[in-house]
Amino acid sequence: MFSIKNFGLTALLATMLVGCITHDENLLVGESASASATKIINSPRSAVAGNLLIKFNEQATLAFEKSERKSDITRSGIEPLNHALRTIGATSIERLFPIDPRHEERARKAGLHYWYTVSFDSNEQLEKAAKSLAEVAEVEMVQYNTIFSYQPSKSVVVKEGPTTRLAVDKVNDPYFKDQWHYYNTGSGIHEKQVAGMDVNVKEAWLHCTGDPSIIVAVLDDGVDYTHDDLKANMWVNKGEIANNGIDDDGNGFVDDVHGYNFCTADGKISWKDSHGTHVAGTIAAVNNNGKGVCGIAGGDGSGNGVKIMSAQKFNADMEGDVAQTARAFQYAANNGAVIAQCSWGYNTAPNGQPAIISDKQFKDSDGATYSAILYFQSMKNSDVIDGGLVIFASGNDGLGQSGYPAGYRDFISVSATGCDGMPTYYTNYGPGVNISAPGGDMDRHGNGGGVLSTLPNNRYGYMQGTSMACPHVSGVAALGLAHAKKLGKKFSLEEFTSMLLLSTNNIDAHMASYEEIAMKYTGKMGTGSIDALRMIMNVEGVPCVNLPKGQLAMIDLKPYLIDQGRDITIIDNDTDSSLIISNADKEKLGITNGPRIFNGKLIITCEKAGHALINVQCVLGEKEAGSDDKMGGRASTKKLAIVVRDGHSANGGWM
Amino acid sequence: MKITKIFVAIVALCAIVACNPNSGSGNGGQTNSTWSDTGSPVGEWALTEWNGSKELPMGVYLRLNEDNTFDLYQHTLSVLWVHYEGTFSLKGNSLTGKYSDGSDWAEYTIKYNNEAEPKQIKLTRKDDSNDVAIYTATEIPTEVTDQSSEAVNVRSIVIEKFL
Repeated sequence: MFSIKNFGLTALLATMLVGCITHDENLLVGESASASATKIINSPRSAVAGNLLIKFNEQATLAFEKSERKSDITRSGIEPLNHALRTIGATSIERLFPIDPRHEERARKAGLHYWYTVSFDSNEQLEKAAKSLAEVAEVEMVQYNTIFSYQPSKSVVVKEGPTTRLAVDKVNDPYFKDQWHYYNTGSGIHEKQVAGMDVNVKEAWLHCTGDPSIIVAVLDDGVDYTHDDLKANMWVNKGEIANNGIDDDGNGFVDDVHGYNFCTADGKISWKDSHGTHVAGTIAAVNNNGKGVCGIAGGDGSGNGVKIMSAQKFNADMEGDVAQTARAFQYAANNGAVIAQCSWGYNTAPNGQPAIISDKQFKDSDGATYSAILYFQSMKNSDVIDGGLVIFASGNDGLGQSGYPAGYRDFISVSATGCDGMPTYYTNYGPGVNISAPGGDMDRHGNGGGVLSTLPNNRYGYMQGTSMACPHVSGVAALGLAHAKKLGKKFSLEEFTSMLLLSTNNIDAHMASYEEIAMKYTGKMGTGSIDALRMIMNVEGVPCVNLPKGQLAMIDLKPYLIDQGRDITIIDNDTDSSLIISNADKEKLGITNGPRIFNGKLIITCEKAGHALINVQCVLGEKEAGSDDKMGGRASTKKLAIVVRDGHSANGGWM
Repeated sequence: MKITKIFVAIVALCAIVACNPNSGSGNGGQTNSTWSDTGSPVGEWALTEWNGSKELPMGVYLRLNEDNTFDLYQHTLSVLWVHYEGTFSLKGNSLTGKYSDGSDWAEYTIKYNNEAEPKQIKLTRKDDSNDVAIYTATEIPTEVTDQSSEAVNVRSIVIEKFL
């Protein structure tokens, strides 16, 4: 997990700023000072000098787009803005989200065209400039372009250069035997290692290993696309010619062959740190190539792995700003990605406490990133799913809540476990966390207890963190989408997310015999630990509930939704049966009253034989769903099939 | 944490997707041809249509053997495949059976569609003429036959009577 400094603090400071800003009447143009102050949504701390992000209202955007600003940026068509631009000595004002003609209509629908970035002399006082722009009535928001930064990741190199072929079960990648996080035998790492505490890929691979149509965008530092164990699974923008300085495919980006470097604004992906390359390997290192490690959705060696797109948002100095982050999401959406893999988040406040504690606070303090992520989620880039999955690491601060953006209720937040199946010492847990996965614990279990994956320059090594847990979930999600592709199945984003979060094993039961751990973490590691085979199973079909014809029956739904003990709360519905079953199916099955869901049980009487789907509303991971103001579990709808047939044999046989 | 049954289910589910005549194009069988009273039920069959619906959430394979024994593989209670066995009897067009635990089948009228490719049989329950099931000849996937759980493991159907 990156240690992203200071950015989390901005929300708190922004809130404070609203209350204590000093009025400067001389600066007022179109707004009162208090009104304009509320438009500045975050703090200038760690912000890019000489640069601000602004969001116009709709009318101003239209006027601005028709203006003659290209010849003179102070001829924007909005006089108060012209005045402010002159005041701060603006040198440019450009769209934050570049125009991609293929998707401009969708971008406008999502409101991305309201956002602009304003550049000016870096010696100009940033806060003064922000106030000047905030005082323009047509400006709705001003956001400091905060720089994210992180410390170099700890990695332990285990092998450099070419590796030898070694047959290991279905795959011949020599280090697969050391990837306990994929297949944990219970020995070889540490005395506390527990068999089965893994993501269960071996059995899942019997059914699916990947599909090249599934593209996972790694928003991170650059992925070493030349790595022997990655290059075959790197996304290739076929419309682009490398290094010719031309935007061949007209997507708005020059030389973006394997992705784009948003920090240097060119197609030259770089990988000074190992983080992005390590994350990418967990998702899609090439399998069965006789080299190095395996990736969860890395294919079977025949070129059928999922594809990795490198959306580089951290530079060689391990820094990146809000604008680069937001553009990376837009790029991923516009160029085919269905999963955004995000092993980063805001840092804690200086006192070690969470800097952001609610969805509302997140939305209010980072409008640019929030808008970009919503855009990514809205993009349908595959026949299999009608939107983009956004998967974040929960954070490495050992806090009793997820970090942000991970904790936002519509994103997936991943916490970390070790080779003993227990929560790691560093993982965030509690509200906002949706699911768990192996992240490794090298402090407790030695280097081998870390996650083993690719490192730049054809190396391999161990790393630990929720950053390493996160790509396990991304990989399993990619595998599930690949399997759905194979079967010709289609899911909504909401349906698939529910299936993913229910593709878990019971971590609470595993912890139960360790009182201290159980007291701290029970019910706080999301729905459980991700399991690739369960993902495949969930993609395959919905469970069937058999019902007798003409009898009132009461069915406990929980066993059909999830293994006993995992954290799921079924929502009672005693008032609106149309939310449970369609009226057409009610008529088909002769249901004249209800059905109801009460105390986790379906109460139903069907007078006619047949089958139908029912919807069960539930909350995954917590007792209550999260909201703008309160972090919580994920509201979800699970489908079950009911099969109504009279006179089933007493033993349940079909005949 | 590994559950063998789940593995079994997955293998079998993959198999039925691949083999179920409903799941692929061009092999769905024909149900509009003439149904005949003559034919043989012996063989391996997959449930492909029930009460007019071909999009079935459950899976059923039935093997009717020459010696009047049967093997039934189904996933109707969950995604797990379950194996039943027993004997069946054919008198004229009347098909009955008994599970190895002594439970009876329902009684069916059987019709044959020998012109369909692959062949089909239609079983209509005698106590409910609306309950019509069409089975299509298919080879039962070995993953299903080899790895299904025995019925005894899943008899608790989790249905509770209200009051």
